[in-house]
Amino acid sequence: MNKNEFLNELERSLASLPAEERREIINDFQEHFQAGAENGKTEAQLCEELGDPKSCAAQYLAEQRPVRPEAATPPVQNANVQRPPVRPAQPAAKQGYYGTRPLPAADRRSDTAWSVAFILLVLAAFVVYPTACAFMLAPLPIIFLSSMIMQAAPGALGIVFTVSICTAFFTAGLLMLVLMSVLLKKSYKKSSF
Amino acid sequence: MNTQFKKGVLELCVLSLLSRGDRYGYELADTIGKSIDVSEGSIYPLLKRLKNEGCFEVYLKESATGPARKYYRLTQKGADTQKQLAREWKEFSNSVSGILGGEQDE
Repeated sequence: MNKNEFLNELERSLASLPAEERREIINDFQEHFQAGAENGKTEAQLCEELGDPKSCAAQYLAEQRPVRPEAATPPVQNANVQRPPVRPAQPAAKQGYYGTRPLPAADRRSDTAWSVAFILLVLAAFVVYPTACAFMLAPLPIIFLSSMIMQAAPGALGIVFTVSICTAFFTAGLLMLVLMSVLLKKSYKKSSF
Repeated sequence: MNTQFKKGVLELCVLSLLSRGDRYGYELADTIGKSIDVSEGSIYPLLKRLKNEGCFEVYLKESATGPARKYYRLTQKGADTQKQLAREWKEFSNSVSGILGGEQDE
């Protein structure tokens, strides 16, 4: 692997980061290659020492994770700007530090909330999906009964009435289906299942 | 070596090197890479995190041979973190040494 391949791979894997932050990271690595070259190392050697660009990117993304809830936070503008600590304050705790780093409490709390929401949504789905199907199928009997409506309100008015009722029912059913599916998917992703 | 374990040690190494003077990224990566078997690429995400946590300040300094380099300077908070981690590490390695010593005796 050479310098360009490494940097391209790294940049590709960092695609989900803000452009500003990505540029800063790429700059750091460019500087590394530059300094390494001045110390007489080849690009291949430097890549070998740096390791896999994907796992490197994964580390950047992993550190990004805890701040994601406040997605509105602008990317770091100045190199000297100090953001609040990403890692939860956890003094002492010998085993904790050199062992597995626990998830921040806030993260675990929101995971639990989403898990509960997911279970509730699954239960609700048993009611919502049949209702949505019934709504979508409702136009069939309505059209069937439309002859009676036509008798009550003959002409164009009757047709407009029938069509608008059919459309309303169908759209409502479709909306319910889509909304429910989207909510289910979202809560499943956010929950810890 | 266990990666989580390495990560904690790496942080201590970076902070300790910086406690002896300002350095730029390549120096840190190269120095640590020479003595510990790690992917040097993992030093940079660590540097970024520690910077975000306020453990050091960053400044640019012209180099004699090429473009300006990004130097890292330890802040008071960084120095405090280094002291605490170094203490934890000593306790930890003493405990492990104790157990290893005990094993040899038997």
